[in-house]
Amino acid sequence: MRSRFRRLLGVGLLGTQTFADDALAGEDTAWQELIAQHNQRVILSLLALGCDPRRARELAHDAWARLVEQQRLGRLERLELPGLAIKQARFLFFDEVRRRKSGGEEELSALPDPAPSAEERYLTRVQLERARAALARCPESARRVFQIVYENPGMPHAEAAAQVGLSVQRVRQILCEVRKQLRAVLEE
Amino acid sequence: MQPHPDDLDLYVMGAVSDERREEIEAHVMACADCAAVLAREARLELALVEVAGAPIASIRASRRRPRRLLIAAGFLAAAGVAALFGTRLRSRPPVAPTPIVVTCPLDNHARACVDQARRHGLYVQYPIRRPVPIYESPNLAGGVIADN
Repeated sequence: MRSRFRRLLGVGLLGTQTFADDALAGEDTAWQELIAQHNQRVILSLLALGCDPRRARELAHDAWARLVEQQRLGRLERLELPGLAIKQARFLFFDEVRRRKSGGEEELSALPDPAPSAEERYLTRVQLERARAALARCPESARRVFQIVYENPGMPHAEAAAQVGLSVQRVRQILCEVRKQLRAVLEE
Repeated sequence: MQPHPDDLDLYVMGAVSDERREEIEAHVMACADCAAVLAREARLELALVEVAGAPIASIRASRRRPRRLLIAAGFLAAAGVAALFGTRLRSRPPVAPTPIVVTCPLDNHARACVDQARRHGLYVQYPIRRPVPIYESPNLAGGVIADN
């Protein structure tokens, strides 16, 4: 009940922070909120490595289960999300790949370059500047949609649409357009 | 094979229906080209999070023992005040935490068990590493959580 009340107030960073504090204190509902917010990014980090989508969901699930277990055993002193969950999921993925390789199964096609650690970035500084410059050239409404969606992990598009006063369909259209522009800049 | 999906961008945004998600995943499992496109879309999606300025460790929390001490001290103080005014605090019975990490009892039923457990918001641990409640899928025993 308390978690739902906080969510109704608007999660934002402060709400997410309190969920993390409560999760460390062992509140299951807080864990569930955090998983709902960050699970997609954990899955994406595995997809980005070439993991198949169904396995990515399973590994993400296992990663969260391990974190919860660690917290219950009193071994989790700090909770940095989504980085910690991503790290755990990647560990499980690479561990599985290593086992398959050493088991003599079919030769795996070259994996992507060793994954950046959870703390590393996906973009160089130059790419980041170029992308942000391209974003600044987008219409203000498009920028607003983009920021709301990408700054609030796990926020449903319906909620973002309500905040900006647009339809869900229009929000998705805008996101696809912005993605297309930024992709062009990032792939230059 | 189904035609190559043209909505992988919506897929990585989490903006497709469950049915469509299943179709896309089934296709990607069988199509190396689309699997590569999906990986690229996923990397782009993560890159866009950086563009928006949300870093990989956007929230941090540490176990704060002092907060619990403060809470405990506050409770004692409140109890003391109540006693002073002759009122009795209504104490709530402790609530047992709802287990969310469970395990499935039988290897050959693990798949059904895991699917069912997840639909109930439970997280399945396998192989078994420590005693956790067992989740029995409804197909086996009516969906009961029993102590291990």
